[in-house]
Amino acid sequence: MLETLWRHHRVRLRAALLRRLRDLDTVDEALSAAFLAAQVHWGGSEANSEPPKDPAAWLYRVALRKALDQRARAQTRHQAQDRLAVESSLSDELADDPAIVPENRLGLFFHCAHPALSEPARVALILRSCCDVNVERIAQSFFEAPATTAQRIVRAKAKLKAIGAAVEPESMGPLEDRLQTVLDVIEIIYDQSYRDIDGGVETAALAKDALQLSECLAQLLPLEPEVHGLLAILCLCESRRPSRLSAEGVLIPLSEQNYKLWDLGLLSRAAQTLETAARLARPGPLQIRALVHALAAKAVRTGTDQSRSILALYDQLCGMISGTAVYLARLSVLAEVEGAETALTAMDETDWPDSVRNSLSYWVTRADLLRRTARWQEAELAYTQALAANPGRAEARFLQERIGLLKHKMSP
Amino acid sequence: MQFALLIYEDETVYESGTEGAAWKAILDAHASLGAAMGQAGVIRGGAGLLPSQTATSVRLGAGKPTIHDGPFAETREQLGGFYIIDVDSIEVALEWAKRIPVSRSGTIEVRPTLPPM
Repeated sequence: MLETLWRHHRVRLRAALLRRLRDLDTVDEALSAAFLAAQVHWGGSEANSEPPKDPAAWLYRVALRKALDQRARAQTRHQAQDRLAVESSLSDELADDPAIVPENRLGLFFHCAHPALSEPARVALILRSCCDVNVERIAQSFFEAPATTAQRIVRAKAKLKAIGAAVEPESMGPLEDRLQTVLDVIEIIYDQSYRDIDGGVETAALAKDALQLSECLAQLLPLEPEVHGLLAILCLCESRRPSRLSAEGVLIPLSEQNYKLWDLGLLSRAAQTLETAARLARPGPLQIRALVHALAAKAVRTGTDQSRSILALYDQLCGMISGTAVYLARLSVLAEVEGAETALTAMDETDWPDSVRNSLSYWVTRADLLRRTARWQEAELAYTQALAANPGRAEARFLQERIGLLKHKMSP
Repeated sequence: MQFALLIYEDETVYESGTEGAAWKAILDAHASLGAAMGQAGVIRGGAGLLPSQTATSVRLGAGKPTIHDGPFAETREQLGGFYIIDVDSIEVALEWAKRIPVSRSGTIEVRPTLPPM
């Protein structure tokens, strides 16, 4: 019961407490203490009373009381004040407490995305504080030791506290820079769960978290079109979750998926979100990518060829963002429109940075183009390279299947 | 004339943080020096700085300003604080500089300030 409660309310609780307590260390300490108290009083198996009517509000009040109490005690030690005076001022402060948990999630996200932190520090802190991703997992995505990540997070919290970083969005100044980081992080979280489709309950939960955060951001910032763009991407990708895995646990590519399994609720949410974004009339990379996903889904559902429109979207996207990752994605579409041979030539003529050349998507794209141009041996080599680039379990099985088919083709 | 006394120290000495003994000891030492400067009537200003982990640098120049986590330069000794004093000569300023406390070793950069505009 407490675990479910934690999943549902942790971000809201942490955000609300941050607004009152002003620094994340104090907040986390207070939250742990409150959960421990809940375990003893009503949440655990040996609990001695009924759970409160609104458990989240109970946790909020208890955490706040514990933190303020401790602060007051520290102050008393400092100033040798009368303990009684402190107690009474404390109850004054709690007297006007709302019975519900106040809203400050945006404050929490943007506090963690403070521009005075380095990019990796912001990302790590958001993953930890807004999404409860554990340190080991964050360390994995940075290719570093967990101790390094832990240290990074400790330092980031300490710095925010030392510089007195704002905790309410209204006193943070321009939010554009911070917004980009928040969007990036939500995408990183979703991407992890998307890649690892066979990762079980844990990764499915991560996808839900990302979707929930994105939905929450869209509610809080309804006039930011890119926020809706991201939400649309997540809805579209998530709608296909039921059709992405075969009974044998092998990844199924979009073009071969059974669209009847797609989640219609999420699809219509995506369409609605894209309309909202379009009405704001400020296109951006996330919105364009959402449109790409929408058209690709439409192609499968209606059995029509959308590749020309998708290619046009990619060309628009290339004009908006720098970086070669988008050129890579464009190649597969180019192959549909102008043939795999043309796409392969374009791939060979591009000067790819090492980060792309060592990536999973580079080798998967390359292998596919080589396969479609009947270069079996080279294709097999490329699939093997892709396997070495750390794919999720389901994708690894898919790649192995492809290698099997190629071997079959090559055997006399 | 006025001089800025800029204090550079290896801050790893204070790794135990602002609650640690080294930090408390150096603050006490600075408090007595400040009192002495006050008594001599030379002190015009100054401040101690929190460790460079709390620093943020704003880089200006080509394009729009960019913000960086950390101090301006990565060096062995970091700027930890400064005094502004008003004395008759550089010689007197150097005498005051020699009295600035450091935990283990450090450098005090003494710089005449521009005359007030």
